[in-house]
Amino acid sequence: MRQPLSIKELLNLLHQHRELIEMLFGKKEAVRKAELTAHFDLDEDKLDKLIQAELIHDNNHLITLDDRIYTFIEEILEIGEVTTAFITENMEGLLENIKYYEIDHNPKFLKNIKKHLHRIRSTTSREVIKLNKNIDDTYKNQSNYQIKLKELDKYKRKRDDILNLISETEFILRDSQPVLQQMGDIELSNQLLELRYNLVRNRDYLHEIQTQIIDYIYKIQYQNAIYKKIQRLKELKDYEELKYQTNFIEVVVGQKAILFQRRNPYKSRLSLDYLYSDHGYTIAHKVAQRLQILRSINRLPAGQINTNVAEGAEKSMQLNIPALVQKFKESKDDLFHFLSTFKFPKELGEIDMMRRMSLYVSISVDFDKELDFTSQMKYTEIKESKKGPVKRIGYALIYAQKELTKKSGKE
Amino acid sequence: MKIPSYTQEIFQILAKGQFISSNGAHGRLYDLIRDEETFKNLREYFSYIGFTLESGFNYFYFSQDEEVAYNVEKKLEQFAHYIDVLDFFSTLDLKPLPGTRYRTTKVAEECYANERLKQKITALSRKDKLADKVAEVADFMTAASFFEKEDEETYKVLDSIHYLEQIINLITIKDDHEVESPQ
Repeated sequence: MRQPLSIKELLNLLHQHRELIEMLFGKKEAVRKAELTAHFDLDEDKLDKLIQAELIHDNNHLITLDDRIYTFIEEILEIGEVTTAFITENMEGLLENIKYYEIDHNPKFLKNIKKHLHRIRSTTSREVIKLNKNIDDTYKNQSNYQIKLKELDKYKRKRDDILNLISETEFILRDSQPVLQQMGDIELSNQLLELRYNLVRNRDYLHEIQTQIIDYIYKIQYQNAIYKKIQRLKELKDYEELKYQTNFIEVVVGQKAILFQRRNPYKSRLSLDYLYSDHGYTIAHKVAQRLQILRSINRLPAGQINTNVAEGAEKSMQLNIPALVQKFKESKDDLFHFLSTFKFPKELGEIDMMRRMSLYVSISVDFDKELDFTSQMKYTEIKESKKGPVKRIGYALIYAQKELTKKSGKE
Repeated sequence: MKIPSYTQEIFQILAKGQFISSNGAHGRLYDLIRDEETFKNLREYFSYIGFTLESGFNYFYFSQDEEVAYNVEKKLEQFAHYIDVLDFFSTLDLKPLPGTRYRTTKVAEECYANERLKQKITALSRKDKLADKVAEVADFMTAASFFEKEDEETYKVLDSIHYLEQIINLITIKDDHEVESPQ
């Protein structure tokens, strides 16, 4: 047997389990009991209490929120389905009580009339707002266009229903005006005035909604026609008939959007003024450092004119060996490995293994004072040329002298 | 004439042939350009450098008078490809309306179940997996700013899709009924 709840108890229960109720309301479907107890850290007793109060229902370990709670939340928040039931109910109540009052001038009936008038006003406005929200929502979020059309059509009918109810209410009010006036209640007359004004406003609103629904339906139908047309065009295209059966060429050629035009990559030159500025200098300096490894032969003092000018031009970029050695000192690598893996600037062309080995030899001879020759050996396999046989060679591990490295670091 | 400070940003997007849609990541710019006075000023400003700022239904783009010798064939080919892509998306359960979100895995599932769709997507992309094919086509639409990538596998349709619809609408097919525009 269910214990009747007091308002206080009910509100307390709702408050205590507000998160649970919010979740159940949001999910709109049954949630497993175990999931709930784990999620909200509930014990079974608390859940049972809610079940006993019939706020939630336990169906085979699946928990659902009671329908009345749903309706309650939806009503207050003005969300959910549009219904005309409340308006009708209150209209009937209004009619009944007016009749009763005619028979017996009991203040109780007057009070009921006021109550129903108030409710008609609030429910009508609420349903109109909901209708508008739902129409917008359907148009924007319903992805299946057939359902979308049907739903919009349904709302169109609901709109008509509400409009009819407004007319009926107005009719009742007109019809029973003498009786209502007779009552001589100031609050009632104010209410009546407000209701009339309210009904007119809602009717205007509903007319606007009507235009909107028609507009939406029209757009959807248009959209649908477009999709059909796309598919038809695709068919024609597959049959190579696009050019002959349609004015495709004419239309597309007429399109001037840049999307279909040759793109010009916008290239601009560096501003000289910028390069003279402090910021420009730092950047130029950075680039220069990166290029330090390159030395242009043009800067050397003029020597004998090279007989083979073409060849001279080709080799105008030469290795700056001291700079390379400096780079090596900054790395902690051994000389051979450093040289064999070093990424030389592209301008030098491809530097093959043989060239790298000769660099190894020449650096170890020319810079012997700055290097630390160890007695350790390492072996590696190389190819003399791309197709040549693989050779195994040994080399000494040479490092930069530590003191010198430190010194150069200080500089 | 007052030139707004975000003009450069607008130019950089539009000059690439992309669109600024109200429901895309550049929605903020859309709202700014929408202002009647701003639109007028920008339109005038860009006209001096040979671009026409055009406004569509919830989107903006650039048009330009093209050079006479421009390769017409290429343009036709380009649009013909859009027909293929639009045909694929409009055959899906979810239609390419502004705001529609496509998840590549979900679209791939639909293609897997529907032989016709599978053929269509296979003709559009050479990738191995169905989901990768869908992603490739969606990326193509994203590059042209008709879609927007929201996360790894979700693409949102932008208002600029109306532009393609408008062109489709302009094309007349012999012996076929015209589609009436709602506007």
